[in-house]
Amino acid sequence: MSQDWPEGTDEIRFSDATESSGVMVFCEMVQGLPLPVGLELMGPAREMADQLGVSLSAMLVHHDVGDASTELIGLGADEVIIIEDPRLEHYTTLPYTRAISDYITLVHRPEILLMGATTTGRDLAPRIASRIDAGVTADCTKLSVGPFYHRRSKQVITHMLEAHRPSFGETKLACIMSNPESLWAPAMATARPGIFVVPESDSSRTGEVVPFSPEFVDSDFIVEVIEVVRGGGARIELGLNKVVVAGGVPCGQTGFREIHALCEALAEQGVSVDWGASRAAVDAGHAPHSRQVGQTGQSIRPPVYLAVAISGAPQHMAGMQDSARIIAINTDSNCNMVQSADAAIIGDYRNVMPQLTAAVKSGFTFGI
Amino acid sequence: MMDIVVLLKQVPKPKEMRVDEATGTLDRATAPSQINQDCQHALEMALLLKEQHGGRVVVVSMGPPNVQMSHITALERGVDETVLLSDRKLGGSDTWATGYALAETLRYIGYTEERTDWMVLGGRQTTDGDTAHVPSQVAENLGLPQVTLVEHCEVADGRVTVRRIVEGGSMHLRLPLPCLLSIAPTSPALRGRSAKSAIKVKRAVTKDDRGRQIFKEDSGVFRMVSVEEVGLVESSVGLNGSPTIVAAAPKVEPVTRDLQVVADAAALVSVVEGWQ
Repeated sequence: MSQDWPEGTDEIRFSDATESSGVMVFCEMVQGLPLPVGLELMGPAREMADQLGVSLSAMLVHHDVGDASTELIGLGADEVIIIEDPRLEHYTTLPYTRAISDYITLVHRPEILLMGATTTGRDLAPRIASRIDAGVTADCTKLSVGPFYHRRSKQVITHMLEAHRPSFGETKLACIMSNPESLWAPAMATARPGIFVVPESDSSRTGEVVPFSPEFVDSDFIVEVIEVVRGGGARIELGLNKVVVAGGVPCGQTGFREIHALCEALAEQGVSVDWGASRAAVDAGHAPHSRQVGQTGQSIRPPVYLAVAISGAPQHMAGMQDSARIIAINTDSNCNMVQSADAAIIGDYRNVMPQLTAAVKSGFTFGI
Repeated sequence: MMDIVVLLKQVPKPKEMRVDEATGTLDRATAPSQINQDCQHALEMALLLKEQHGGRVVVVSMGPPNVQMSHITALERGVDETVLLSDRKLGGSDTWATGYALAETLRYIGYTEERTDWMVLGGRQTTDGDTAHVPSQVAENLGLPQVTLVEHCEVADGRVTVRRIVEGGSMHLRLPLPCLLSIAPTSPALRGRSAKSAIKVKRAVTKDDRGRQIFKEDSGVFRMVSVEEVGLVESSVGLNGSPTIVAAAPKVEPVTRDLQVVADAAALVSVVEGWQ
């Protein structure tokens, strides 16, 4: 965070103090493809690399990375580090930690390391941080670089990662930076899927592809993968839709049937739409965790978010409050969701949802 | 038989401060803290495993002395022993420092790589920090294999089989003891008090001069340990020992929306048409 310091204060660059250089993004791959969140991170990563005047590396760890390196170079990577091994098809903590930590400690220590806050990233980032002695910030919604004035040493440390994350029940946006008392690189951060936008690809860009072979030990593979079940191979990325219709606990099975009917009607009108649920509705068994919206589920900001019988607990709001338009259906006009919405229908979803579905069938598409 | 160590954090109750009707002031006597939600699930998982396999459940926490309140709750559910790492020197520790401090505390109370008859369970994440970092960081410091986001777990022949939540599905994994698992809130909820345990706890606690429950000196079920006793490197804990700091925390102005309230779908259609 930029702030005031006395004129003539000594300045030291973070990368010089920590003997590190460059920005690195770990792009997680599942079933042969890079996840969208890794591609999204190329946006802020490229911007920061340009501001810092350093190179941007992308790192791929999988059994077969396919054409992903070409895609990442098009999105801004100057180099793509490839770690391929048949044992890396499915994520487990230890070999991935070894792969990335070895590269960082033996080959090249970046000043910034980013990854998606997926189930993998949230498991992996902290383990790497403890192994290589680095600080890590979880679930960032904004990434930037800037200086920090260290009062004790009367020095300004420049070009530091500013990792911003909502905190204290979303009322504050905390800016987390490396501790000037003990500067360690890389400064690590994870970011939730759907926060950043995948930058435009430029197929004329060039970059280097660098294979790396970590020195795995047998104990890295002590956790055995018995089976992986991913719903029909399709991941649910609610954030990629124009409209998301989400239900709360009061919906019950009937309500979720109404939600499905509305989604089908919208899809027939050519609108990209999917359905989600509040954490309470997931806990009650009305929807799988993979459809949960909120702090502990997906963070999305679709053009239209329709909240059906969701009261709007802070942890739910955290996952959808940046939607362009919020429409609430609720019997309680004083609930948080209604008070935070652009429009609200005050009424019972049992009456309202069939009306809405009928309106969609006659051409209403929520302005999409 | 195996020991199960449960990492337990006491957190502020989200928005549950009650107002005393008589005085109109906040009623601070009704403890505004609780066991972190996901840690409650870890605790239940540990108690279920104990029922199946025998052994002991040991709770380990880091925090101020009033975490004893949550330890009393845990013991009433059937936990055998609790340990609290409490020291002013730990104030301001980030997750890296917390992972180190908790791992060393486990070593100090006897859980080392040489033993194979134990495991660690933690909650997926906390409601106040919300990082999900600490379980991974404790595992790394102890050199243990780990699986996070576990909603189901079975132990047989010294091997642990788990179901881990992943995007759009789940993974089934098998790993040896000792290991660390972080438990997801889709696992069973924490049980209520058992009469037998409650009686045992009653003998172990007394009240302090402000009427709050605390453990007796010789409770036999609770231990408070310090940075020095555990042998933590002071420069690796607390604010100065943490690799990250909160540089600033500006208030976020909530997005203001111009709410339009309607009574039915037809009215909504005209409102939405007005947006274009």
